[in-house]
Parts: sequence; C-alpha cells; structure tokens
Amino acid sequence: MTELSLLEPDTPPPAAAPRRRRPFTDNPRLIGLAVLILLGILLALFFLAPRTDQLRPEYISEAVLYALSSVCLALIVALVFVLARNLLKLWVEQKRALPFARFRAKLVAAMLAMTIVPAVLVLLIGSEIITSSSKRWFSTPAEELVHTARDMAQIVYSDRAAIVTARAERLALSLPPDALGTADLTVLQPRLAADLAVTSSGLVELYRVVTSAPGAPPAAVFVTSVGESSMSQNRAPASADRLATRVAVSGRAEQTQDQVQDGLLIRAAAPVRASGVVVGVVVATEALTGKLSEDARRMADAFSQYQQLSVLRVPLQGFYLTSFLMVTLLILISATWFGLFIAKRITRPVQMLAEGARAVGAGQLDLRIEPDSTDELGSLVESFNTMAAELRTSHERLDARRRYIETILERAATGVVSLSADGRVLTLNRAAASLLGLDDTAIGKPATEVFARHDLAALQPILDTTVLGKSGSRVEEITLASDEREVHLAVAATMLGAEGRPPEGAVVVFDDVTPLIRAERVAAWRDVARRLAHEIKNPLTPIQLSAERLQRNFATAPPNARALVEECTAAIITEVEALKGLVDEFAQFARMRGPKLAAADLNFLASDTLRLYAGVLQQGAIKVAQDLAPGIPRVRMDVEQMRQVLINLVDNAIDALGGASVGLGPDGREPRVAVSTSFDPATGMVRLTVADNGPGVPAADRDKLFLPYYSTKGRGSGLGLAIVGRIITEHGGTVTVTDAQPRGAQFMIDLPAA
Amino acid sequence: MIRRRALMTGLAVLLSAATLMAADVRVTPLIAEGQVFASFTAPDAYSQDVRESVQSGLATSLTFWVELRQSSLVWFDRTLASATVTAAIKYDALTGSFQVTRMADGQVQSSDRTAREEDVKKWATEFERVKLSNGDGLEPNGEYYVRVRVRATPRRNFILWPWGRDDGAGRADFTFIR
Repeated sequence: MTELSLLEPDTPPPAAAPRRRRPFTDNPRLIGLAVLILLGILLALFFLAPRTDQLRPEYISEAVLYALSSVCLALIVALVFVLARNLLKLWVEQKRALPFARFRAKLVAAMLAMTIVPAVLVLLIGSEIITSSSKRWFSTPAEELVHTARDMAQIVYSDRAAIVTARAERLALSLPPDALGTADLTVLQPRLAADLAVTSSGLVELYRVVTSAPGAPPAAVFVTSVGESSMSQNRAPASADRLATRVAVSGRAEQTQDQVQDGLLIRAAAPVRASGVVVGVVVATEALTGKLSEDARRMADAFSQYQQLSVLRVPLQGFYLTSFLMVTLLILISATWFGLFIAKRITRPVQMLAEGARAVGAGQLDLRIEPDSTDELGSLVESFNTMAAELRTSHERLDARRRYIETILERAATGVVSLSADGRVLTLNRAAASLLGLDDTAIGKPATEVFARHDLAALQPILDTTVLGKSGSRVEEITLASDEREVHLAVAATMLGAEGRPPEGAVVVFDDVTPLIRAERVAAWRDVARRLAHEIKNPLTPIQLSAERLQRNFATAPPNARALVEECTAAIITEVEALKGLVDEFAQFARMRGPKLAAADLNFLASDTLRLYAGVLQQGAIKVAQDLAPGIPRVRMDVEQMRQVLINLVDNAIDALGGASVGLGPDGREPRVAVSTSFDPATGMVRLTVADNGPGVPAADRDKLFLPYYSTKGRGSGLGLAIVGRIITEHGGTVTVTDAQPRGAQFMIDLPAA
Repeated sequence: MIRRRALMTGLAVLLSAATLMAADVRVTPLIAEGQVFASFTAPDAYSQDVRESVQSGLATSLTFWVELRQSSLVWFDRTLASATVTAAIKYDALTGSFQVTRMADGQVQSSDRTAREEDVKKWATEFERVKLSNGDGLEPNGEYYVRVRVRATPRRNFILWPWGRDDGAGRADFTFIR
C-alpha cells in the first residue's frame, strides 16, 4: 500500500509510448500477398513451360541450372543466416533471462524438428526416385528400339543415296567426253532421256569443266539437265553448282543433300574423264519425299531426342535434384521463419501484457497496448487496455477525492495527525502543525519522539493508552502550556482498522477550544460584573448621602470632632466615588451594546483620536507618532467603539511607558508611542498597530491580557484590554500582541475591509 | 543407402568436372607485319562427352576465348585484346553428316558439311591466324602472352557451383618484336 503524505506533491504519470510502425515481417497481409505472388509465378511457370522451346534440355543444362544453382546457394545462405541469427538471438535472450525466451526457443525447435525430418526424407527419397527413374528412361529395350529405328531410317536414306550415286557414276562412264567437251546436246540429251526413261524419276544435270587460265582452278559450267517436271521446283541449282565445282576440283565423286520444304534432295556427282582429265561432271538428284521420307526423318529425330536425353541425363538429374533441394530449403526456411513468426505472434502480446501489467502496477495508468490482431489475443489486449483505462479513471477519481480531503484537512481549523501501526507520524495537517508547534520534519518520526517535548507532555497519556496501547479511542481535553502561550485542546484519538484485525494505525484530532474557554470566562465575568454592579451600586448612594449628611451636621461641632468627622466622611465619599466609578465600569462591560457597523475611514479615526492626547502629553517626554498608510480601504466599524479601542491601547501604552508625565529614560531613550495603519491586499485586511518602546509584555501573559480583570499594572479594573478584545471580536477582527522592535510591545488589530 | 548413393552421385559429378578441366590447348602466337595473331589447337576439347553430345544431334559448340595479356607482378594480369571463336556443330542422324559453322566474334567465317568426324574434329579444334591486335599499344620487346580458354556447350556435368569452370586452357608467352 502506498503511503500518502499530505505534504508530498503528486507525481504526474509518465506519457504513453508513441505508436510504432509495424515491420513487413510482422504484417500478415503483406506476407500473404508475397506468398500469393510467389504462387502466381510458380503457376505461370507451370503453364508456360510446356508452351515454350526455351526450356528444352540443352537450355536446362545452361541457363536453368545456373538460375537454380543461384537460387539454391542464396537459399542456403539465407537459411544459415536465419538459423544463426535466431539461434544467437535465442541464446542471448536465454542468457539475459528475458521472458518467454525458452518458450520461443522450444517453439522454433519444435517447428524445425517437425519439418526438417520429413523435408530431408523427401529430398533423399526424391533424389533416389529421380536417379532410378532416369536410368529406366535409358533401358536396353528402349535403346535398341531407337537405334533400330535410326538404322532403318539411315538404310532408307543410304539406299536412295547409293542409287543416286550409282546413277551419276553410270552416266559419267556412259557419256562421251568429246560431246560433253563441245556441249553437243544432240548427243547428250538422247542419252540422258534414255536414262530417265529407265529410272523415271529424279534429275540429271551435266556440267562442262573449263579452266580460265593456266594454273587457275577449274570451274564447272552448266550444260543441260533432264528430269521429271516436279523436280524443277526443288532443283536448288546453286547447291548443284557448288557440288559440281567441288567435284571438278577434287576429281572425286561426292554426295550431298539439301533440305527442302517437303523433304530432302539427295545429290551425287561423278566426274567425266577423258584420258584421266576431268572434262565434265554429272550431278544426279533424287528427292526423298512422301510418307517414307517423313517416317525416316521422324525416326531419326526420335533417335536424336533420345540421345540428347541420354547425353543430358546428368544435368537433367541435377535440375530435378536442385529443384528438390530448393523446395527443401524453402520448407526449412519457411519452417524456421514460421516458427519464429508464430512464437512472436504468441509471445509478443503476452509479453507486452506482462510488461504493461508491470507498468500499470508501477503507476503508469495511461499505458495503452496496440493490438496486433483481432483474434483472442487482440481481445485480451483490448481487455487489458479497458482495464487500464478504468483503473486510470478510478485512480483519478480517488486522487481527486484524496486531494479534496487533503485540501479540507489542510484548510480545517481542526488539527489532524495520523499515525502508522508502528506509531510513526504519517501525516500532519497545517492546523495540527500550528497548534502543536511542529513542522514537516515530524513526518516519519516515531510519535513518542515527536511528542516528547515538554509542552506536549499532556498528549503522552492519550498516545500511551490508544496508539501504543492499542486500546480503541479516547477523548480528552488538555492544556498545553509553554513559556509563550497556553492552548486548550479537545483531543480525540482513535485507532484505525476493523474489529478483529490488527490495527492499521491511529488518527488524533485536535480542536483548539481556547477561544471558547475565553468566551466562557468572559461571559462568566460579565455575569459577575452585572451582579456586582447591581449589589454594590445600590448601597453606595445612601452611604454617600449619609456621609454628606454627617458632614453637614457636624459643621457646628467642636473643631476636633468636626475635623475628625470631615476627614472620615471625606474618605468615605472619595471611596464611594471610586467604587461608583468601578461599578460603572463593571456595568459598562456587562451591558456593552453590540457595534453599529458603518463604513468609516480608520486613518481619520486614528488621527482624530490621537489629537486628544496633544494636551495631555505636553508635560512629559512621551511622543505619539503616526504612520498612517494613505489610500487604505474603509472599514465597517462602530466609530465610537473603535475610538474606545484606540484610546484603551494608547492609554495602555502610556501606562507601560510610566505615565503621561514621564521623562526621558535612564539611557536617554525617548518614550514613544507609534500608531500606524496598513492594508494587505492578499488577505483583504486593514491593520491598525499601536506600539511602544516600553518594557514589553512577557510571552506567558499575552494570552491572558484580554481576559477581564487581568492586569499587570497592579491598579485599574483590568477591563481595558478585555473591552478591546470583545469589541474587535464583535467587529470580526483579531487582536494579537507581539514584541516591538527593538523593544516594547505592539498590539496589531486586523479588520476586514469594507 | 540412399544417402550413400547421393554422395556417390555428387562425387561422380565432381570427378567429371575435374576430367573436363584436364583438356589442354596448344597456343602459337604469331607476329606478322606488326600484328599479333594466334593459332591454336585443342584436340582434347573434342572429348568423348563432346562427341556424344554432337552425335546425339544436340547443337554443340566449342567456344574459345583468345586473349592477349600482359603479366603484372602486383596486380591481376591485364587483357590487351581478345577474340571469341566458336565452332558450332550440328549432326543429322538421318544422313549421318555434320554441319560445322565457324564464327569469330559473332561473325560466320565458314560453314561446311561432312560425313567424316575427323574433319569435324579438325574444323572444331584447329584455328589458324586468329587476329588479336594490330600492334597498337604494344611495347616493342615487351613480354606478353596469349591465353586461350575453351568451353563446350551444352554442359553435361552438374555441380552446385557452375561458375568459372573452363573445359580447357592454354597459354604461350612471346616477346613482341616490331
């Protein structure tokens, strides 16, 4: 329980922490979006891959493998980084004994354990399946099949090529070199036509070999051609010309082929020799088209594709293995990250709640936690915020109530002192401090030590029986007397705490009943005065008349007797007059009327009254000084009664200085009475001060000065200051006595301004 | 068992890569009329792997990076001039013929067809007088060297770190005399 002190200032609660931006890694929407984008890319690849030739095997062995390797290496680095970072972080958190560190570590370890075993198993089994499957692609029956198909295709091609070659060589041998050298078409064309009639297909072209200059390479010049009409479109003469030229130069038969739109052109060229010299070239062309050609091409292509797969088996395995490895790494990274993410999502709100609870417990009631989600944890956070807000409201209400009560206690005229269960002073309001003459240093000290002062000794029995004796409550009226004053207090000491429970402390309440007692005394004296006036004044007149009659009757008596009678009756008459004056004063005090208040100028009253002393003080050395503040507010007062007050105080001061005819003091000091006025705007009170430089008033007598029939002069009725006190009280003011500086006494009257 | 097989596969891949690294290129620098040429042969570059790749019908190429360089004692050697020569080979399984296309810096130099694989090997691995520099910027009596690196594509090996692997290389130092 926090101890409250009336004198301790309130500490303002710290300001709420500013809201922080949520990072990407803690934003489920952004994470979901990123996952969707990745899934979209994968789906696009899945649908686009079969529709493009960019993913053919040789492309995979280059660009794709490079890309996959890059991704895998990046993922390995990322995995190592994520694992190392978080392991280090978890280790540091455990070393620092941060809350939920062990929980987070366990959660991440569980997620990793749950994923790493199946992921690695999938990787290994998948690798084995890929390896064994790729071997089965190239099984012996399949290989034999494609090789046989390739052989059949090559047989088709080579057979046709052999036919074309044989045709070219046969024609080269059968054509007359002379006719070719002279380009005699009448000889050559019938022979070619006869050959075409036998073969009924293909095309035959004749070239004549010429040499432009001695030493220059020979050239083949086209002479004529004979062939089926459909061949003319696919003749590709440039290719035939190049072939003829090569044969003319090399002198050896050659064969070539040209790819055309609907198939393949097989060309064979053979030299025509005359005496061992090449004089011409025969180029035979046959088209390999139609269904047979297509089948042969398809078989050859199938063989090539099979061989390509076989050749690229290792890169293809690598492609699949790398893909598996990439997926495994992605799973591991995702598991690690997801474990951390889940742990963070779970522990962070709880951790924030724990920290928030500690902060609220420490008094930071304006703390608010930002909910990260709308799930149950979010609801919990909202509930916490609501609780903190209600706590704050309740605290503010209690605080306001506490301040209100403190204000009341501070302003109350009743003194209140609270004590702890172990007897220490907890609080002390202003009135108690004033009544008991204590200050703030008493707070926290044991009551026995605080109240051990000799003038507070009357409190000890009460404390002994209540606070220290733990015996309920006690009410008592006591008098605290010191050298300076005497205070009458009504003291009520009460134990705090419910019945049957250990006491939680005590509270001691002090009521200053001194004015009440004074008033009671004044009332009693007024009653006495009224009775005295009534009982004494009545017989005085007959006594005086009787004494005067004796004087008159003994006027003719012998001188001795007459002198005796006159002396006695004169004494009787004098004393009766004195008694009458005394009784009149008593009667005046007893029958003093209430003041008739009206706004008046206190300065004018003071200066007007002091003018009366101008003649009285001429024979002495006493000086009456005025220091009247100009412009002070008017005061609601009974002018005559206030004049009486001022006269009584000035008379009292003159008496204190030794009387109106007193001279200078033994030390040459000039007896002086000073009358001054002032105004305090803060309190709205007008002050009238009458000071002298006489012997002053002992501190012990100051509280008694205003009691009736109390006098330090040994003469007079002792009613002067009692009348002053009563008039001032009835005007709503106060009168106090203090020491004047450098010596003497001063009476200060405070009256409310009109 | 599965783990051992995976390990063996990895080792085999690494060994095949090491075999490819063994190919050697013989380089002969030539200086004629102040210009620097390089002739080189790399018969080992036409390896069994390349041969199988060609005969499978894959478009196979041997790429040679020819560089004229100057040694440096304190820093990396400086490349003064370079040329890229490529021999692209395509085999037709139906006709049994090879089409060999030779390119220098992306420009086709020649394209020949043959049914003889010896010709293919010769055309793909022997290059004469590849021009590197016209001599400008070369110091008379300066020490230089020609480095030739060769690489065959498509690659038939698989390693997780595929960068910076040449299938063969050769170097020849010379003094530039003008």
